[in-house]
Amino acid sequence: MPLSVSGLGVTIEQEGGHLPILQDIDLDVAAGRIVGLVGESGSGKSVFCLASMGLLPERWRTDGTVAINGKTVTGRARRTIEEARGREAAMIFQDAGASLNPIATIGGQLVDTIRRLRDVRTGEATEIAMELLEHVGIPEPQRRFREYPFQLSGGQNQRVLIALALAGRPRLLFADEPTTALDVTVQAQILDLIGRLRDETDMGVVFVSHDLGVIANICDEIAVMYAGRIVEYGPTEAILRSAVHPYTQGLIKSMPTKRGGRLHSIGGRVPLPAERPAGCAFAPRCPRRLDKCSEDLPALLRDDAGPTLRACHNPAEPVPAAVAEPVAAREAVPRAGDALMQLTGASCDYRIGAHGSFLSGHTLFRAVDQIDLDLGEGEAVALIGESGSGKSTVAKLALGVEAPSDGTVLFDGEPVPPVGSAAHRAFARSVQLVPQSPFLATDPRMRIGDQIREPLDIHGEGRAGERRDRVRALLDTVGLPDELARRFPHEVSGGQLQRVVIARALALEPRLLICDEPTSALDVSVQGQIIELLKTLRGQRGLSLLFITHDLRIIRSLCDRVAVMHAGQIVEYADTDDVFERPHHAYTRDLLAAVPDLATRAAPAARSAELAS
Amino acid sequence: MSDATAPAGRGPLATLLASAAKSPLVLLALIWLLFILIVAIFAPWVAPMDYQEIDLLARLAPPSWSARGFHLLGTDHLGRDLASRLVMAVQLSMLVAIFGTVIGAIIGVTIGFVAARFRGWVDDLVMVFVDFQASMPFVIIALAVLAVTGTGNMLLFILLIGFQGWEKYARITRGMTLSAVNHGYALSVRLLGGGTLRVYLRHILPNIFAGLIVQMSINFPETVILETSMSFLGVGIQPPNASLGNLLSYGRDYLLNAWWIAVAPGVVIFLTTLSMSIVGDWLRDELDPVTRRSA
Amino acid sequence: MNTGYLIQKVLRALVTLALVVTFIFIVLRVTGDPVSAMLPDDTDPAIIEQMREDWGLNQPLWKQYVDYWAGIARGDLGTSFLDGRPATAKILERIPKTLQLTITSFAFMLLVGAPAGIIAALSRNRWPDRTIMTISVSGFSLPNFFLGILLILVFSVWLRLLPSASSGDLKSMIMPVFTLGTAGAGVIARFVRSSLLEVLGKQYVRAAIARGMPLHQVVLRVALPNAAIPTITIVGFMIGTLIAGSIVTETIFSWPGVGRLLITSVTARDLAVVQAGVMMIAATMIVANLLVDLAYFVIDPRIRFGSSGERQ
Repeated sequence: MPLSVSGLGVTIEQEGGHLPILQDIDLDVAAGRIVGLVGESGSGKSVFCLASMGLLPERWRTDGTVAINGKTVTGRARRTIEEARGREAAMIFQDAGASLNPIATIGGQLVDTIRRLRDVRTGEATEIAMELLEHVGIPEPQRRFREYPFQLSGGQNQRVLIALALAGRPRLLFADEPTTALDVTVQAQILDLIGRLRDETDMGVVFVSHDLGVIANICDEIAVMYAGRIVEYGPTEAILRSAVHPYTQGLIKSMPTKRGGRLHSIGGRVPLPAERPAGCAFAPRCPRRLDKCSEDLPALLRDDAGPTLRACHNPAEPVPAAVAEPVAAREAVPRAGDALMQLTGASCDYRIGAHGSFLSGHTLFRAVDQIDLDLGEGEAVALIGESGSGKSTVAKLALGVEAPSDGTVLFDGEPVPPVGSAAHRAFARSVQLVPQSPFLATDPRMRIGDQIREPLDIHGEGRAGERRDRVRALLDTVGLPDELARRFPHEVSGGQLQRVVIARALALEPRLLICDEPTSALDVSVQGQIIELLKTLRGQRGLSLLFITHDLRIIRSLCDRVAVMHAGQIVEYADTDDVFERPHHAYTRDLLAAVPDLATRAAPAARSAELAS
Repeated sequence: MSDATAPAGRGPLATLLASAAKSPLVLLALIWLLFILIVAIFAPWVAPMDYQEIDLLARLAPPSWSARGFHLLGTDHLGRDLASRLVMAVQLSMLVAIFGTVIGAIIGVTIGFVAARFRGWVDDLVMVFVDFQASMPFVIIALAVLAVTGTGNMLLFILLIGFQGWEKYARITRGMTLSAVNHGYALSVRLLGGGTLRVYLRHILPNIFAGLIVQMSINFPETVILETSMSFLGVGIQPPNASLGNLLSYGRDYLLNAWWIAVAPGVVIFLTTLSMSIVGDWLRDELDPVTRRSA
Repeated sequence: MNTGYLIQKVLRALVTLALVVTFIFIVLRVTGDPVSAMLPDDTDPAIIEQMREDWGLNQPLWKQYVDYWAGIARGDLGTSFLDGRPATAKILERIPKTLQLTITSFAFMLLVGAPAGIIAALSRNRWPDRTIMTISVSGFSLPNFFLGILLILVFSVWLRLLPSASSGDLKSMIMPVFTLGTAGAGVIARFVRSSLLEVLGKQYVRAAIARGMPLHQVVLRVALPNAAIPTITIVGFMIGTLIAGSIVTETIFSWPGVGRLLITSVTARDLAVVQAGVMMIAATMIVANLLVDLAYFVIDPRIRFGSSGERQ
């Protein structure tokens, strides 16, 4: 057995007691199996990997046993884990670029590791390194060998990290969110690679992700974690088809799918280690809570009917994923006359080089290349693209942050005025932005209420008393309690703060809201809240939306039309259903195929069925 | 993001003081600084005697409490009471250091704002000067100026001391302003239609204020050392005015038979700069959101 | 290879040099009449006129500026009005003594500061760390003139072990070097500690440990080289601090170097010598900064191969 964990607990020693981080984890990973750990941030998934590898900080204490390839590595066996690292078990991380020594060459790091782990000379290690690079699919390995991490893309760095992990021929691989920072098409390639390596080497894999779609696509088994415990565990098929723990069901329902449908969310947030309640930690957020849930801790027990284990006093009826909701019938909004926002042949060039210093030259980089895009009154348009596609630059053009180098950007028939100009003041009443990170978009030293009131102050709307009432009404609109007005941004959660940002954007009753990846900084369980809120606002206020995102799944039920951007150009622009069902452009098809989705689990399913028989 | 450490209902100052109470070193440093401040403000009343009164019969007297005179630290070669001179020196040195720090902050912050606001060639020009200043020991520039103007003009000297460290204020102001202007709340406010003045005064200044306070606490001991060094070298504050530096310089000649003349002002300088460094470190840990988040 | 970076840095050094020269010209010629500033008020007007002529002060400003540059190009920075010797010569003959002091102190500073910082970082929050950091803060809070006097008091006056003034032998170097190097050693210890701690917290260090790299190798081969990069900047700054500190140190220990000459010249308002000294120091600093930039280029591949030295 590559990994056998029983009764694993992790606590932080502090003044005034121990802080429990992980509690009572039992988990086995068999050779050739991929076990997925899923849960919101703060559930302890990454801590599990670090604890198993003996990589926790000094003050963190580990209880229970972890055995890697049959050898116990916890407790007094500190030397054992040091010898096991690299040879028996390896680990890859989320941000691959940050996991490589920035000032050593790719080849140098590989040769160094191979020499140490395989006890070979430099010459032989160089050959092995080259083979490994080729094996993990690095194009031009000879060239990359001499290059540095910053010269490679994120996907290539992740491949290098995997090659490094393979250097010691481990029987076990911990993959901690290895694809989270990557674009979907690259993510799909890395997932393929991990699956292929598992097939070839028969190693066991622990795969950590917050994205159930990714987990469903690659894993044979799933362990759902919440507040430091495993709450449900079983074969992937069984979890997806017949999960009974309300938390697992909540996670499944909040996963956006390509089929659209209403996005659910789980209210509340994961409790911090210091504030975990007695009994079941999920109880405060649980729709099926019983009295005894907040007193008795439910044990992780085998479900009578099926192959799964769950820790729940009041398990729900299984709701098969993917068919949880039918494809939503979107209310199509007919195109109304003239376009509200219209980009015609619009381009945007950036100067790159040392920020325009007079001592150095610069070159031009065309971020947006002659695009045509129009958006009617009351319409919602999605702009989809991967990083570097130019989609955020389109937002800047539409807001007047950047001026088009070429072509025109019109709002209501008038050119969009540049930010800071006199005409922009009036324009600001009509067009507002909901940016990616609410933490960056709010002033950390100003109370939330004052920030929502600020647009009213700027435009001199109403008297002081009226403004206060408006703030209260706005908070209500976005579903937040009044008392939040007195708090500072760091005192509320990310989801709440994003709603504050939306409230501020709505204060001037704009006609168009530009949303630039408004959910990508948030946990998947609250992503649904924001999307549903935007949907409601559209319905109530006839608000037009330009929704920019890399995640195709979340816009199916929200947007009327989709524009797909690639390398600065719009490659496809059509009705939402057409894009999803009948994509024309090859890139759109690639993008759709790469999106991990609970409904598109094919190959791994066949495999686990095979194993089961 | 989860650092909801400040308990609700407590002002930032109360929170700060509560954290100071936890560290005895910081507490001691704050007490010393408070003591020095009180001595500086009330110097003429604190000083046991007139610091310029000459008593040729009691020259170079050791510390004594005799009927002849109450000389806590003895007397100098003219029989002037050293304790009184030390108190007056504290007043003058602190005055120069505080003014110097404030002047530097005002000049630096203004230049930093200007560079960040106008960008382009203005920014380039400012940065060339900032880099130049950062690479050139300030004392050399001060010496060049003093060589022309001559020494002994106190007002000019304070002004000159004030320029010390301006480039650091300019650099951090510019850096923090740019990062706010480019992709933070400042852009949000501008997109809401807010003007430049609102962005800078309502949002950016309160946000960089903590950073500036920290920079001032780092700059202060440097200013003290610069002033006392120059006075020590005889190109700063000139006799008969007493500065901790020229007091020490003068004590150098009497190391053989009256070592306390040099050591007393030295200890005062050392304890003051040390206390300010300790307080500065503590303030940085408490106020600087960057180190705080990573902690 | 990113040659743009090198060209940019060299150009900047030249611009800074021009700036320094212009700055000195402005201070000396524009802020006042150096001749009347230098001479007593009751000097014979004929003598003043004669001197103005010698210094070229009756020429138009631009002409003076051009002549000024021409003089610098010839290495002529005027003559000392105390003894009539060329200012450059007076400065140049003092340079070996100053170099002897500053280079030794620089070595002392690095050899004490860097290991102390490394030890402190590796024993974070334990007693070696606390001790080193306490000494470090005290070290750079202690003004060097006071440290020098304390050393003289203890080792020359009381214990009679070391000479209080320069005599040329090795023994007379101990106290000046300690006086000049202590503050810098404290600053470097602190900086090395914090940058090493920052690097030790990085993902790539954790990843290296996860690959089974033994801890001492992680520190030596991964953490230290990365921590060295930001330290170079601080070491560059320390050169300036050493030059500034050498003025005080040379004065205390009667060390016949440039610093002491500079101070006596300022007090005597010997402008030509002051100007030559300041220009020499500025040139040193500009070269030192260029070397720092070059060191970055050599050590950091992100600058060596990156675009224009700035990361996207």
